Amino acid sequence: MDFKSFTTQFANLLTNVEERDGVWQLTTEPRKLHALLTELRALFAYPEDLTCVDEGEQLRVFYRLYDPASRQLAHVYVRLPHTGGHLTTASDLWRGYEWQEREVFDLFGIIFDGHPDLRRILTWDGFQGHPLLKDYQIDNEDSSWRIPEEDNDAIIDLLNR
Amino acid sequence: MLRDFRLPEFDAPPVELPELEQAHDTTIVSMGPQHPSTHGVLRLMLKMDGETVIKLAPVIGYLHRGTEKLAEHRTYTMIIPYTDRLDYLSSMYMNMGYVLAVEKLLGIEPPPRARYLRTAVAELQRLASHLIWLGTFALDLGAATMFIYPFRERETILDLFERLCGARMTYNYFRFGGVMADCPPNWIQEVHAYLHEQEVRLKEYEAVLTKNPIFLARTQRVGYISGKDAIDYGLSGPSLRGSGVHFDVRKDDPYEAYGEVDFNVATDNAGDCYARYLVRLEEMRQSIRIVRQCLEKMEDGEVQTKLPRAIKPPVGEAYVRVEAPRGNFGVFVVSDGGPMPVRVRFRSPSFANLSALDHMCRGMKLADVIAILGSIDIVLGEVDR
Amino acid sequence: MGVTSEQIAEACAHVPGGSLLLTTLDEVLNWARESSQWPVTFGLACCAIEMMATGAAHYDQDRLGVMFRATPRQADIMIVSGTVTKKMAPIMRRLYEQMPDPKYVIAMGNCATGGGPYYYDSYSTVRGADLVIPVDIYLCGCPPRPEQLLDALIELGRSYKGEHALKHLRPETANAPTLLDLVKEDG
Repeated sequence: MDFKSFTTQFANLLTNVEERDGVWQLTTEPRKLHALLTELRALFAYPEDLTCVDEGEQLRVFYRLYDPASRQLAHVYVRLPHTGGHLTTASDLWRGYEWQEREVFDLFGIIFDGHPDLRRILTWDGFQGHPLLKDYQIDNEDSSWRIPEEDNDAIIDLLNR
Repeated sequence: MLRDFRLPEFDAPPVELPELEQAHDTTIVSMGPQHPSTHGVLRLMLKMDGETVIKLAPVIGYLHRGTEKLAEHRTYTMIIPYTDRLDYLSSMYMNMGYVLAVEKLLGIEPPPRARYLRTAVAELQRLASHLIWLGTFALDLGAATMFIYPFRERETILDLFERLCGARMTYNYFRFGGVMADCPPNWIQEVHAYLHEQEVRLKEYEAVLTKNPIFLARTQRVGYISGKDAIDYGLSGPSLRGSGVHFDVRKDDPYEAYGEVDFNVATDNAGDCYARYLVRLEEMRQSIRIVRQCLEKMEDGEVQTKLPRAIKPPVGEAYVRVEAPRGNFGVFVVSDGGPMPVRVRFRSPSFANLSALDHMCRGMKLADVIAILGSIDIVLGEVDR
Repeated sequence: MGVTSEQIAEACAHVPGGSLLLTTLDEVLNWARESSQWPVTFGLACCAIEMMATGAAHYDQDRLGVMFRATPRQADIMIVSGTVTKKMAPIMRRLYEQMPDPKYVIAMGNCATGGGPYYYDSYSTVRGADLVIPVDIYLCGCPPRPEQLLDALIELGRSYKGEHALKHLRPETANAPTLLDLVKEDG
């Protein structure tokens, strides 16, 4: 399916479309994201990247999809408020997004509903805050930092499920 | 087909899993983060039934240094040394990915000599990275002699890099619009001499490992992942090509001088550790080919375009991906016109490759976990950033 | 191994004093320890690769008696090579506690020495290994060359001179604080 036919067929799921350098740039709303990604799943098999940009008043989540067979790339953008943003998980469509969503949750604080295991992945147990937000001070010499206790309960729960 | 002999009846995955789900006397073993075989600070929590792994949960973040956050507080040029330390075994490639992304934002291109030099240096770096992989993989499986031979060859490459840019490991060699400095006199002849020797040595490594019955028993049918699952997990690099998927960014989306040189993409259909081993060996041979062609095609000229002192790209964003030795390395840079970027994102191949480790290790023995981890070749600096 | 007792006697005859050597137990033990430093494999980041290169061909630390041991119980030095993050710090402390006395620490690289040239203002790094464990030798470089690491190991070996190698048998060291005490102290 090419860009034009896709965007016409699913125009109700998209708020903005553009094709730049051969890459599909699709923008959508948070509540329509999962429906759009389900349609894209048939065309794009490879979950290349999932990340987020803090744009001051809002967060922009960015999914990058690729199809090795047709060599086609697609970017999907979703805008969320600075705090308390929720999105439906895409890990049921592509298993590669499971860890990427955990990273976005850890660093930006976006909650992915329906994710099998939404825990912090890069920062340590007991870490407060979300580091990559613009209002998180970089030189956070946490003076109350002491050698943290390890929390194995969550991982043991995961293994026993 | 890369292998010249094959185990019969290979098509089915090696172990039936339903029996494992009913195991009732299980132990949870915590492996790492300090362990000689985990290639860095990685912790693996394993649920085991005796010696068999039922489920595996990797715990990462022990080397999370906040590179992406730091990049928002540094100027564009100051970020280049940070990229060296992401995947520190293929520093040149990390430099290249970031530099290409910012060059795309700036809308500039390096001069032809710099392009060929960059490609040659990047492929030499791929050779160095695969040599370390070979050494540590063999060491993990117990072949201690095979640790020494690749490191010996790698020292020659490091000597070449030291003559070129002054550093053995974290080079900071690439600049926007070219490279830091041109190659010194006689450097090209030395590279050719090294390449000739490396071809001979590759045959030596093959003689030790490729048909070795112990090596075969430990890597064939171990760590199987099908091509479809590999794509679903977002694997890339030799881990993906070892499962039969022909995805190589150098061919799909050529950058630098890769469109002008002739080389093959190595793939193997078996999907196990042995397949990934064969793919990397073949990649080393292809890298030698690429370096030779680049050095032949290189003509005299400048190695860096003139740029203003303060780099301030126009407002916009750029996403560039390159085929690093471990896979598809992507860099996403967002600029607001100022001297420091708004966001720099490094899509690391080892992060995605590691997420598939659970899938590959189900039903394997504990010792196989080491072999599988070695075969997917992760670097924690890149996973944790 | 082919050395006979007559050959030993002949060799001793050339040593001043003949076949009788007067020394202290401490000196002999220190001399032996100098050539038998066994580090625990504690590679964290990029410096670990230079540490591995020191063990490989070209630099070959084995000729100095340096052999990597995977378990801290059999090691006597710890080479902290790489950035120490806040997540890794408790594990580093625990490993240090598990090493038997006498033990020494080499902080290899800029990150272990003082937080690193680039991570000095990061939210997740510890500014130097000496905030978590006591360090004996600080080796700077990013990463330091293998020759520098060999130099550090030789320097460490030389520093054993004058040590009372059996000091850990002395009663005053029996009540040194452990990790549990430190955690309780911080509340």
